[in-house]
Amino acid sequence: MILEIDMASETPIYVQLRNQIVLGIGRGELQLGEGLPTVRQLAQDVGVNAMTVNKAYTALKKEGYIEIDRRHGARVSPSVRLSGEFREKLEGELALLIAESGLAGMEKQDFLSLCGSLFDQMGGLPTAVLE
Amino acid sequence: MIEFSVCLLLTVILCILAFVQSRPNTNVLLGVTLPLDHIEEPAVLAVLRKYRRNMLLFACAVLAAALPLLLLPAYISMQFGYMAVWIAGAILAYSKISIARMQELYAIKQKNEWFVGGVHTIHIDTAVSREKEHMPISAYWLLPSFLMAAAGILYPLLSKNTSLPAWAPLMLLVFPLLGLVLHRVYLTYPTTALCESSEINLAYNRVWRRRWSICCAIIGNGGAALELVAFWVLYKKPASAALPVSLLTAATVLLVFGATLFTHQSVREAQKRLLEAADHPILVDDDVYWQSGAYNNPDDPRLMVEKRFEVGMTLNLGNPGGRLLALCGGALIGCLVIGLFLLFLAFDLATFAPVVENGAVTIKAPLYSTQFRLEEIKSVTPVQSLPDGTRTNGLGGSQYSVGYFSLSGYGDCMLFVYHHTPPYLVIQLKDRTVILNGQTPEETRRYQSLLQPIQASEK
Repeated sequence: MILEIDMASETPIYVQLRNQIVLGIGRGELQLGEGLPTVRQLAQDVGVNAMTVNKAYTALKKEGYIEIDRRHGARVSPSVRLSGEFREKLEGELALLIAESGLAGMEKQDFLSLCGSLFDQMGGLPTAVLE
Repeated sequence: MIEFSVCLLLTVILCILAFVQSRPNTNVLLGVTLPLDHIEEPAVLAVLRKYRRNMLLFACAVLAAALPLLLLPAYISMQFGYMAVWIAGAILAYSKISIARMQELYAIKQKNEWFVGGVHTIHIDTAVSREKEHMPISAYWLLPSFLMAAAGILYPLLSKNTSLPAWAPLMLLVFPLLGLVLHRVYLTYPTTALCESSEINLAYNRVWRRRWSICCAIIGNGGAALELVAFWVLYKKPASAALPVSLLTAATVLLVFGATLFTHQSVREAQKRLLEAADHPILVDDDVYWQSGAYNNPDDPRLMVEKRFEVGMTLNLGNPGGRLLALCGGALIGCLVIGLFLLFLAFDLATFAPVVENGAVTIKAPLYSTQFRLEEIKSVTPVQSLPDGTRTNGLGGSQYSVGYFSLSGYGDCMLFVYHHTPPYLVIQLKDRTVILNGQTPEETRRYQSLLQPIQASEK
């Protein structure tokens, strides 16, 4: 998959990396079990310190999106499970997003329709989730 | 004559680089990123024609400016000084023309809003990033160059051959180390995501890394081999080494330049074909960082990037390390040029008159001097000509030669001679030979009388 990192963005690079990889998994651009570049390789290509990439990978590993082992390096987890912690986080972020959308004049139906079409674009999600 | 040849060679190199630059590099022409379908626009072609005309005039002008080197008096300081000024002027003029046409083309691009892609965004293909270390050839291909260097370094130690300074064989490590450093650059350089297709991206990056790493191996091994042969000639046949060593040096320059240019063209052709096959190319428009002619991007952490103009890499002046390297490099070159000019001037103004004081004879020249006692002189013989030889550690110009030389029939000796004003005094000492003369025959005869009677009275 193609990672897009905006060097002039206010969003920290490790957050961009984390978000891009999660989106990539969701869209199916990164297959479950697929290998990822090592920390050193990705740091060289982005042009940042290895610790920045390490931070992104550590966050992804903690969230269960990737696995890291000494032999194979980093790879996408064969399966990604929804945790209780994640649900709480999702509720908080969605509440804010819904509030912002409502205040900007968006109707409930439009919001749900938009969510639906975005969900459909995520070809990497397990079929049970999409149905 | 050497200085004029250097100027001629540089003119040819600049002309070749100008020709290379006038052809599009994927979608970059004269250093400006353009949409592929606008590269053939009449306004763009007009700027290109103007660039070619400018470069032709430039070539004629610099060649004409180099002609005085053939007429200047053959003093090393004068020739060197003129050549240094010529080189600085030629490079400056070349850069000015290139930057002027680039800015003209950029203005056309801005007027027509032919912008492509993002400026601050980096695209990375994870498949390419994962595979990049397998793309160049192995660094072990440089092993023969190190073995050749080791052979050249060990030979004088084992054979106790001291005809060259002890540090000289270490020069054999230049090409192996250069090859290794460049190999490392091509191994670790950031990957490029050309389009959405990982297959094309892999091929694009593989072509670049593999062919440039092969070029490094050719330069490393070829350069080391040619250097080894040159050293062998210097050790075995020092008296007649001048011509073969000059030819080998020329061959080395041609090898480096030829291999680099061939690889550059070959990589560019292959990458152009891949770009044409890409359905959704990812185009990055970072022209704004090249406006001064040099790359200046504070947001890019890379120290070196591929040149837009010419062939090879250039420093990122937006990077503090890049600025420091550029400053240090410029200061080093400046100090070297000024230092050499002053040294050559000292040589040109020096005289080699022997001074006799308390039975000790001192002959002084910048960097080289010798001293011996009068009683060490075995004979002082005037000769009308000197045999061929080679310089081992000294300065040999068309006006004079100073330092350590190896001459046929005399072996290792020290020279303090002005050419074209014989006779030359061959002073045989107990352990060495010194050859000396004055700027005029009368001066030489005065030196001879200074040394001869004392030596004759001892006998």
